[in-house]
Amino acid sequence: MQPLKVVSTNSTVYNSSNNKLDNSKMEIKPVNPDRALDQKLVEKAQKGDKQAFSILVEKYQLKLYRLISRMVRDQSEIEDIVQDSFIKAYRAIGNFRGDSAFYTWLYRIGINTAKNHLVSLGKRPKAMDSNEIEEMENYESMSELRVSETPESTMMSNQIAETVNGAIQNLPDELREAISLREIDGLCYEEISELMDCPIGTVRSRIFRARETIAEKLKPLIETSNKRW
Amino acid sequence: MNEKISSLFDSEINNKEVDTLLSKKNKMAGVRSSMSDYQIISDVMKKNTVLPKNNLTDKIMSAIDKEPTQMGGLTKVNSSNTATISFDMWPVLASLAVLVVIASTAFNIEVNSTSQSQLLAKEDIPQEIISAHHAATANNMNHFVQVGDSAQ
Repeated sequence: MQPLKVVSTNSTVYNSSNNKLDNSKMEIKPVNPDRALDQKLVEKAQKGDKQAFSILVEKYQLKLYRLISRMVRDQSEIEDIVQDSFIKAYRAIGNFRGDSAFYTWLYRIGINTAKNHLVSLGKRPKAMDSNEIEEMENYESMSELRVSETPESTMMSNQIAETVNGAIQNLPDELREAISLREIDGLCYEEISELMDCPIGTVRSRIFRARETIAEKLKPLIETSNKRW
Repeated sequence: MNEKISSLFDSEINNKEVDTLLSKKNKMAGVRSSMSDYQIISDVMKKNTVLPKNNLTDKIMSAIDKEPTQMGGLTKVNSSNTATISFDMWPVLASLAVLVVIASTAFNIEVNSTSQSQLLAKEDIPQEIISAHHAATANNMNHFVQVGDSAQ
């Protein structure tokens, strides 16, 4: 496999000014910890651990939701399809051998469930070209949510974004930098530890503390949104 | 605990830590809730469309809890759907087992007493020889008691 290069993003917004990324020194190893963790959780689910499967559900429900929203617009229908897809995946988990990534397998189940749903409603599923299929398989590109938005949902999303961005700006430099390198630049802990010149345990702790601080600010807003949505 | 959840969210967690997290079954709702918060933060930072916190995972898991448990390709049916034997039934079952053992032993004795070899022997050997043999054979307790007494 070719070594991956760091993709330039708008991460400098959150980076501390004196320690920006130097791409020339970086070479990211093509590791996929996501897949290793998923395989571990799948194996546990295959042995009867439903809690392990619940982690996979939490991890992928939003990504699957975004995927299905490309084919179906109605929110309640999307939720039903996502739920059916996970139930089908659970029923078939004993047959999953890890030849493909768990998400790729799940996405195929999701697409088929959505197609069957559309056919049952007398609608013709949209034919997809190979580029679109490839894009859908790469869940990192699934950032867009194609559901009909209401003024209230748009306002809530904006409030959440403002709160998160405000909380990030108020973080101590080392926490802000650690979480930005992780979330925006997509670096693994080892790479962040090299860049920030600190042990991996410190990176882990900084990212956790950054998240907890932001989540604390977000809590009242999330509770309000839960009541409204 | 929460630091482990953060690492789990990033897939930067080792197998032992996964086992530890999953062993705390009563705290799994908290694990999922924290992961959901982290997802919102992640979406905002990546400028993804933010989907407010939902309870979809709870709905899905509620449906999956009704499904039979997967056991390495086999399916273990939920206990609510199967006939189970309570502890109260064990004495009855034990008595039944003893009866079966006794009955099968008795049946074996019966079969042995009329075995083919014994029938052939009875036909071939004259009756007076069999009677003489029986008379000479120690076949009751008195014989052994007497032998024991004389030995003393």
